[in-house]
Amino acid sequence: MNRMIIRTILREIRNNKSRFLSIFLIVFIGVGFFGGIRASGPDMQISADEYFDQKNLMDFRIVSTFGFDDNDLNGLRMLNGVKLYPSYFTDCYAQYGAENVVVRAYSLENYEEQEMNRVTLEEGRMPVNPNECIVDAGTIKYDIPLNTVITLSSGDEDTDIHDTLENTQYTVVGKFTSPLYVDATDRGKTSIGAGSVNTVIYLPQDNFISEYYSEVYLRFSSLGNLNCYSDEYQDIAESIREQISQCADNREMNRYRQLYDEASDKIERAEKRLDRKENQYKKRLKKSKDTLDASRLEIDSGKAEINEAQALLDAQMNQIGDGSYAQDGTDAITEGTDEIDRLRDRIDNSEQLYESLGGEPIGTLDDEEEVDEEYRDRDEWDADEETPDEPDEDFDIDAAGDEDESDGEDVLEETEDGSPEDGEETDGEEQEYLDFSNLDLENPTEETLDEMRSIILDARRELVSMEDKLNEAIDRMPEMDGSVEDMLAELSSQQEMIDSQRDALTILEQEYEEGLENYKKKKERVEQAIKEARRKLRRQERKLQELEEPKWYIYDREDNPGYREYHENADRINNIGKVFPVFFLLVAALVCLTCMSRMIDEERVSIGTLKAIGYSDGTILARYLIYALLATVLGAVLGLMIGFQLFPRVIIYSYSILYRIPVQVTPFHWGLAAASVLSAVVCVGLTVGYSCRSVLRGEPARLMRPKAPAAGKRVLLEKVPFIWNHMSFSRKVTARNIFRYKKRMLMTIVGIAGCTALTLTGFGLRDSIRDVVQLQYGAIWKYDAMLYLDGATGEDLSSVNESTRAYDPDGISLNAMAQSEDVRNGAYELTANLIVPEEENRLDQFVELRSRGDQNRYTLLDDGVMLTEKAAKLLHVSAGDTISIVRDDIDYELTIQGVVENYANHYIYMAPALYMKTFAQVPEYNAVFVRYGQTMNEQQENGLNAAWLQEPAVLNVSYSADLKDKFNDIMNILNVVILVLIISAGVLALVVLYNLSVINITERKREIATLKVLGFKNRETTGYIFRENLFMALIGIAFGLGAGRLLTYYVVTVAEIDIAMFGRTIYPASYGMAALITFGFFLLVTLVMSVPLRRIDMVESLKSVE
Amino acid sequence: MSFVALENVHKIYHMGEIDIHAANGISFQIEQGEFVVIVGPSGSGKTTVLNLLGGMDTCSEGRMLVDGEEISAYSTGQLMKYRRYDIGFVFQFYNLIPNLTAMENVELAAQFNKDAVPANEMLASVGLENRMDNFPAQLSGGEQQRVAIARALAKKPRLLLCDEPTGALDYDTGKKILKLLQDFCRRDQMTVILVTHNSAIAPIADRVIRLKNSMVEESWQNENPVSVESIEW
Repeated sequence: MNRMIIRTILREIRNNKSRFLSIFLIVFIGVGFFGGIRASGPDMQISADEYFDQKNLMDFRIVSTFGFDDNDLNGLRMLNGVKLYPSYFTDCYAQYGAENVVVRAYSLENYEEQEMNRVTLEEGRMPVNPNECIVDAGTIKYDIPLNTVITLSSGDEDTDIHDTLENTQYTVVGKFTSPLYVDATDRGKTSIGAGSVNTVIYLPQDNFISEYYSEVYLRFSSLGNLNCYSDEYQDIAESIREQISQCADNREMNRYRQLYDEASDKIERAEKRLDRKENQYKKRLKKSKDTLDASRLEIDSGKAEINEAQALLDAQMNQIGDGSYAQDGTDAITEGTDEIDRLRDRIDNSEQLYESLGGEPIGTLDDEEEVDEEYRDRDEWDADEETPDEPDEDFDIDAAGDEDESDGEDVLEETEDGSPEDGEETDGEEQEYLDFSNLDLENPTEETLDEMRSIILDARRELVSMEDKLNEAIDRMPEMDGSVEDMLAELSSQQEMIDSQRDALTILEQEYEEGLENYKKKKERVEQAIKEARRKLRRQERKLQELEEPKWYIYDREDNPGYREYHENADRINNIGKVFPVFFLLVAALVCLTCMSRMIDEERVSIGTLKAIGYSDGTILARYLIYALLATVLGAVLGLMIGFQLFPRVIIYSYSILYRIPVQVTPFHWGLAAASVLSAVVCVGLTVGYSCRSVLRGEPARLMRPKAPAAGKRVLLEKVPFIWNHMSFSRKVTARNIFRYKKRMLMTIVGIAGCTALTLTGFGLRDSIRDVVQLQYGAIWKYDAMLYLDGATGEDLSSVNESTRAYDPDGISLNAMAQSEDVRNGAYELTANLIVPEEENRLDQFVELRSRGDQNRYTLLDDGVMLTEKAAKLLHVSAGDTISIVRDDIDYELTIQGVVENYANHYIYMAPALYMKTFAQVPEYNAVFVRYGQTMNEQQENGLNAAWLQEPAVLNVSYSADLKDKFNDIMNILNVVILVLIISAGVLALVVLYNLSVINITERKREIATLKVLGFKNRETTGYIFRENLFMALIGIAFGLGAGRLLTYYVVTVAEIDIAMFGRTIYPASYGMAALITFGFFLLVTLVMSVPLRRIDMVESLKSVE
Repeated sequence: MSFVALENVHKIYHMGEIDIHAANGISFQIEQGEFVVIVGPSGSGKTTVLNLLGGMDTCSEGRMLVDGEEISAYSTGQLMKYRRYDIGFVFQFYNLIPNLTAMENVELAAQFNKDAVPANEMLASVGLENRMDNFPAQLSGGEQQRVAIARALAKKPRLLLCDEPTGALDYDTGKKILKLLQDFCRRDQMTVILVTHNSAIAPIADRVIRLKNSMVEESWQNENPVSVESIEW
């Protein structure tokens, strides 16, 4: 290679600017498009990854049914390279104005910047006061304005929001976007409301009342540097998940044991205490029983003695009466003495009894005081015993720790509300019991004792007086004979004494009876209370047995709404990137081939000369190689530089409407760049080599003569004289020329076809998506609004329907159950909305159930469900197959009666009878389909909305028109993509057509000049050349429409998102548009090229070849 | 008045900074039906003169009159019509349309004139009645030139311009072509202007114009033009 060659190359470029530019441009577009589209998928992922890294998005999120304590956290800290971020959240209702939405409230631990899952403030400010919050700016549907005051309430009647949150009223001070929620609408599922979270808020952490963290976020250093959508990330994440899961098993068990042990310990202690108390009560009861028995005995014996004394007295009286008085007198004294002795004995016994009952020896008042003191001691002891049940607190805490997982919740809630009641009841009983024991055992006994004591004292006094009297009688014995009268008087006074003694005994007996009665009552009550306490304990025990192990739910990023879908979309763009750009590269290669072979043909004379002078083939080849490769490499590098920026940015921007990923990272992909440039270089190199091959093989002498123009050939058409003979010259020429330059014909057709196909794909894609809107909201969903209710009763429903009718008398409505369900067929799973209309025969007034192909209409039957088409496709089922709805890990099998046309979301339609049969429960109607009787303007619709929202049961209303608008928004994004496609296609077509026209003209300059000399008008000359192009363009368009149809199907299939089905029909207008646009490009090129055509200089062109 | 008259015709090509005088004040007259040979060495301006006469180029100065019309004042549209109806052109390299058969090449020009000689007759008159359906590539050089002549004459032009028609042909074929041209000239009173560097052809002409350095060196009328057979080169 010498300077001469370099100089010729440079001159070559200068002289053949348009050719150089052609190669440059086609490579620029081809490689730029190739690289750009190819880079778009990876760039989407890199951008998302970068965003997630910036925001420290968690790798894993763990939720436990019992919350997390320090031991749990310490267990997790053992994991290798882990960072923990424990936090709180709760799902609840947020009310603002007339709206009532389901929110997930997260705790905001740091107002400035969270450790993980950092939110980006979009509007307003971060909270500074505990009663301020920030709301989700990411969701289109539920937009809570700034400065709104929202009131939070719990998701179900059984729990009180005040158990979870300090404040329930918050002022919205800011709006955020969160890396946890990249989806524009989906906010995940929940157990409250209609089953899905509507929007997300962050509350200052101090508001959360709980000893346990409700969730823990984890980040791993081993994952930090990886692209989160890479296989490597997924592999490592999988192994980490294993470790977490092991840790979870361990912690679940330990936590369970700990809880179990603590609780059973407490139950045991409570049991022991109960036993002890029971024993004490029993002992005390026995004591009072003994006392009562003893006093009974005493009363009985006292009665007997009184009777005896009476009998004695009566006998004395008789003696006195019948003359045996003296003897009797002596006897009476003896008897009296005995009597006194016996009375003394009895008093002694009574005293003993009294003492045994706890009374001090009778004599002084001090004894009584001591007794009082003892009673007081007992009260105090009882108070000591009565301590509140501790386990309750623990259960409380556990319950507060749990918010999310409904399984554990019930048990815990039962425990939670059960326990304090137990405690209260036990308290009450103990007090009663205490009261009872005071009343039962002490007071009556005290009374009895008092009474007894006074009686005993009386008796003693009586005894003393009896002794006195007896002594008197003995003293008076000698004079007794003479004083019978006195004796009688004496006896009668004795009689009085006995009577009074008897009265006293009667009172004693009465009091005993009362005491016994009280004792019995109190005993029964104590026994009842103990039984009750025991029953409660048993219940606690049973509950403890039922206590489930805490369950840890391990979530990873894939569980974040939109995270996986975004990944899938990136993959889809990757898929598209595999088809389109190859097409561009192919055309670019073809253009290069034509350009270079044309150039070499033109240069054959100078090649011959160089050869004749003695240049080697290699040197000559190098000259063209360098020329072509220079154009290629320049074009490729520039194309990549622009392509790597333009296409990913447009695509990421377009997707940013669906996925809130605000970061755009569009690096220069060196590998891809190298591959693109290399493939372009190889392509062009081979092209140049191929073009040069025949020329270089030629003899210098032959090369120096001009190449004979391509020979004319007869075409097949000439064999049909009927047509051929009726063709004008120019047409004949055209017909022959088309087949004369086969390579060019092929290229033109491929170029035009490509342009048409790409344009048609753009329009077709738009048609497909427009179908979603047009068909879904027009033909399939005939209802205008759908009301979602919460905990609606039949009355609520009829009230709602009445208010609808009051506003819109001609409107119709249908109650239904709408519930989000997990649906499964083997390994295929998805989430679908189950719709159970109250009256299945009226469903067709609101939803069209038809099959897409034959438009066959279905009615809901009792033996099968209707499944929407995309769901059927994803689940790999068709009519007649079975699917199962999974609730609480139980599969409920259902037969598919028919697959129905549907474009947005997945639905299962089911008759209420089948619902009852399948789930053994009555469907809870929580939604109302409404179809207006008249066309509503915005004002009327607002009025109706207000009427609805005044109904307490109405949670929210979704309007078909709103949804339609939202879909239209998405359509507008796609219009951008379509525009990119059409522009790319157009540029491709322009370059190809321009190139070919230039070649066509330069190649046939002589021919054109000849025609001019022959007196052809400009129009005729242009027609002569472009008629063939026109013909080829038409063929190309025809081919392109066919290819575009196929390409559209392919793109629609790979571009479709899982929850939607795009239409499969390309409208005729789109074919027309694609053809028209391509033809427009063709005309443009024709117009542009007619200028140089007109300018062809006859003299110059026809100059004899020197 | 002469059938063709050039009066002080200049043609200047501006090639960058250099002006090339391809015609530097050329004047001559030609009468109708004359067989004219313009001779001169390479670069003497003879092809320029032919191109100007053929309406393929316009002169920078001077007047050109053909059959009383001042073609030097023609617009491009008029020139186009002039070429279409009045001029027949024969080139050194024939310039046939490769994709058309001999017959079609003739028809291509003949279609403009309703009175045109039918293509098959025309081809027969140049001796190609058996090659009418052949493509140019299937014909020899002489045959191709005959087709070119037939194409030029079929529309009955008022002026036949031939640019080195024998330049690419061998001696015998060249002579046959010259004979053909001379015969048409004599038979149809066709004015034929033939440009050549070969002075040996000059004796067959009625008028010879010798150019040198873009100027007419000499111009004379040949009282006794010889037949083609008698010349040699």
